[in-house]
Amino acid sequence: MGIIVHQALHGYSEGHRQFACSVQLTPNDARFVMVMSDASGAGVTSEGIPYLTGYPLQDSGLYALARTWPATEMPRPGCVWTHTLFIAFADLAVLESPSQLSALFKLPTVETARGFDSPQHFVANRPRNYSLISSQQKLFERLATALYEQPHIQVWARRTREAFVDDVVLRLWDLQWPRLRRSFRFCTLTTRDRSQGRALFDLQLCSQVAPRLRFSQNTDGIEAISTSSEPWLAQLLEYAEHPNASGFREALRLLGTDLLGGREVMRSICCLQATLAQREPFAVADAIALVTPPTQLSRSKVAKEMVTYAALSRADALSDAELNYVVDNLALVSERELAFHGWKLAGYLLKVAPEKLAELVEDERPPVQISMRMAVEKLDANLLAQNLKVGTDWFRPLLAIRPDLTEMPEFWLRTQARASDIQKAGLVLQSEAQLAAAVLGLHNDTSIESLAGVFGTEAVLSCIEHLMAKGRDGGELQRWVKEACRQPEAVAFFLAHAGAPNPRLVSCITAELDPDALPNDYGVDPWLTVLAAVKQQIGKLPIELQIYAFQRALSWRSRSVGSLLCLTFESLHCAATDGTLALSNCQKLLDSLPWVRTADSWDIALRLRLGLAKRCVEAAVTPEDYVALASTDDLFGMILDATLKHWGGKRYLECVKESTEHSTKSEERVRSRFIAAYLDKHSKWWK
Amino acid sequence: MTAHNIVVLGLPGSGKTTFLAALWHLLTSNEVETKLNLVTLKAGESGHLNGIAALWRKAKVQERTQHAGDRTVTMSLRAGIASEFQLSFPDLAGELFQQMWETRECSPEVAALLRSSNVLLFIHADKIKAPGWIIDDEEDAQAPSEAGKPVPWSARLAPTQVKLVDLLQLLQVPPLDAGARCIAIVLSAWDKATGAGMSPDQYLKAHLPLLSQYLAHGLDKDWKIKVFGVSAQGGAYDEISKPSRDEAQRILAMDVPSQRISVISAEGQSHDLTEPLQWLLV
Repeated sequence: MGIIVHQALHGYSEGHRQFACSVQLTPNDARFVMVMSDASGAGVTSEGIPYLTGYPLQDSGLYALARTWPATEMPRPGCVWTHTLFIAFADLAVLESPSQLSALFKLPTVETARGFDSPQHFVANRPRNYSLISSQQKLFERLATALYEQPHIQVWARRTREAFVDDVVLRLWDLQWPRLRRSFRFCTLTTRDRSQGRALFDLQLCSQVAPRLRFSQNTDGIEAISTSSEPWLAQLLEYAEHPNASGFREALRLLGTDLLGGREVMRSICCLQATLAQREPFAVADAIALVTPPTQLSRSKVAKEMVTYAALSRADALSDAELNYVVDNLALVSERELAFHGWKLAGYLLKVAPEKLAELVEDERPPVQISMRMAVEKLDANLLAQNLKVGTDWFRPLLAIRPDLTEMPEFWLRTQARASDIQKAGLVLQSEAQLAAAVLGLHNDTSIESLAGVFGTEAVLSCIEHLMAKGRDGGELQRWVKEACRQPEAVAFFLAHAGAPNPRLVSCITAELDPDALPNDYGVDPWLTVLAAVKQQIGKLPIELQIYAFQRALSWRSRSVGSLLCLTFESLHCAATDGTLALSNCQKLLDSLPWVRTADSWDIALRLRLGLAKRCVEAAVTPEDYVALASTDDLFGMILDATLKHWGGKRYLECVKESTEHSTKSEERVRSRFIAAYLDKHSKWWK
Repeated sequence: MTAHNIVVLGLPGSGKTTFLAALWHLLTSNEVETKLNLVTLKAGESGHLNGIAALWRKAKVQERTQHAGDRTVTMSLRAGIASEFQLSFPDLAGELFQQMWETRECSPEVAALLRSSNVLLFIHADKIKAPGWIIDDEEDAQAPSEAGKPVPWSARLAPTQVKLVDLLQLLQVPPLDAGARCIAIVLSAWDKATGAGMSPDQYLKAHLPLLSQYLAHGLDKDWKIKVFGVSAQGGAYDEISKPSRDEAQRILAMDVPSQRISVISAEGQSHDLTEPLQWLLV
């Protein structure tokens, strides 16, 4: 698939005139072509070499590329032949190497003049890589330096007679973006400035022996004599020699289309391409600087997009400033690239600026939002959790995408989130896994309170029990126990229905609740239930639980006083008598026991007995429970002693004796007789 | 200072630039007496004039004036002891006037110049394209340019005097009309025409009868006309980078280059190229 190239031929026949033209030009353009096709200046034809002229025809939408030859066969000096090719601007824009058009030029003669009245069909070849020889390179560098470092000045240079001069100028022309290419005016041999009005020529070459190029307007132009040492020139030369080696042409086309500038932006474009090609860590920062105001490239969305792509591809090694740049310009990146690189960016943001990641998943730019959400979905849950930070609530957007985070203790540990935070993220707190993770992770009291409030005390205690069964230390769960114990009724319910309660949990609860905290408005005291179960599990209640239960029995709350006393008294008494009941363990207990003389204050066993007796009498412990308080007669006897000493104790004992006298249980009948004997023995003094 | 403008008309190759080159040499060399003397030249224009004068001195053919090579020469002159005046005249490419005939187009800049009341009309005495006989045109039409196809008529093919009459007609209608004018007709390369033994007026009448009749009866009666025969070169010059011819060698050998110049009018013959100018300005 090629393009149509129109053409025209001008030469001398009773004056310089048009011989043929395959396209209808506007009158203005036809006059301009007539002028441009004539010899470029006095003495040019005497050089004896052909030259090129390039210029736009705005009215006709065509670019004219012309080759002029001296027509030495003509009768007058100064006559020329000019073959002009006309390329539509749109076609010029898509040609990779418009310099290839020069292959269409034909040296005309009078006989062949008519053959130029039809257009030509041009098919471009793929540009080929080839190096410039030293002289070509020097000319290229001089011209490029002047053109692009002095972008607002007309450039001129001296040239030799060699044909490569035209090739070098065409190579420069090849390396321009469409808008610049179609506005670029050049002439490779002239003796004077060929500018007409405001149509200034960018580049004009004159003979090496000419004193200088003559400018008619108020300018002297600038002679291209020096070579820039800046890296942009080396980059441009590299592209000139290897047009297929990189995406420079495409970058030129895109950037040139996006930028409004002319020659003045070439250096910036080359600098940008050179910087983006670098692999060093500082390259990203340098590239960002090139597109940050007030630079020329800062006005280009394409340039920013390129830099963003480059930064994205290195998203795992960006500084804060570079990261900010990427985030600010994410909307410039295509959805495909976002999807390709988004995960890397998300991972990096997670490590260095997770709050930014959270912002991006709710970004108002749909492509950004979608890409970041997809990236977050794919991120490893542990990684996500480990990079969460305490003290902020930005994790909510992440939660909405990754509700599984709430099943990770790390999440709770790092965020100390409250239930409201989770609910605001649209999640429902209801699963055991969530509660378990929260229990293991949370240590903030407010957060614990909020979660406990949502899940409920029973669920919390069940969870704690479950965790303890797996080996979790009760100490780390104490806060939760404490929170659960703020709902005594619920705790009571839990204890009452605990099948095989965890002894450590029970201990933890006792550490948080006073013995008389839990209600027992009806039925069996939940403490009795749970402690009996514990005793059954482990064989013997821990001393702390015994103390707690004894205290419970001594308090006003329990409806199972006798059973509690039976469960705990004898064991406690034995501990007290054999010295294993330390004062430090039972100070609270002792405080609730009846007063004794100072001389007896050391005798905990005595005090236990007195307390027991007092409670039995005051609570009217059932005779069945009373007679079961001690397994030995000696201890039972001491209990009787304590009971008898209490006000109303004798009457109570009488009652117990009578109630158990005819019991169906032999041990109760034995105890009844024991009490009877005791009473006989100790009541004679008042008979 | 009084300012005068002269517009120099002429088809391509009619001798306009050669006249200017010779005139410049004449004014700057002071080799012969002239009716007008140079006082000063406007700054920046000497380069071009010196260049063409140098070629003239070397008896080299002037390079044709390019389309974009139009220049206006402005110089301060004095006639004898009279006060100084400024004279401007452009060295226009002959293609511009050809374009006026062929395409009926004229740029505003050239139109402004053409409204000058003083006209110097150049006609190459040896390159007059005469009208063709009908029989000759018939033969041309059947010439084998493309077999079986007629040769289309082109304005380019018109005779010289037809083009010149048309040009003069254009000067009398808007936008080029400037009222009555003085027109000095310069038959250049007069050295080629002397063999006919005619005066310039006679030569004009004989070889350009249509033009002669138009000058007599077609112009407004207030127009003033005079015909000069001018040989600004004195003979055939050499082309640059080509071997020198005998005639050019002879011309070069002259001691006083200004004496190459011949100006013939009804009053006689001289070397003074300023005569046509002086006539226009009086």
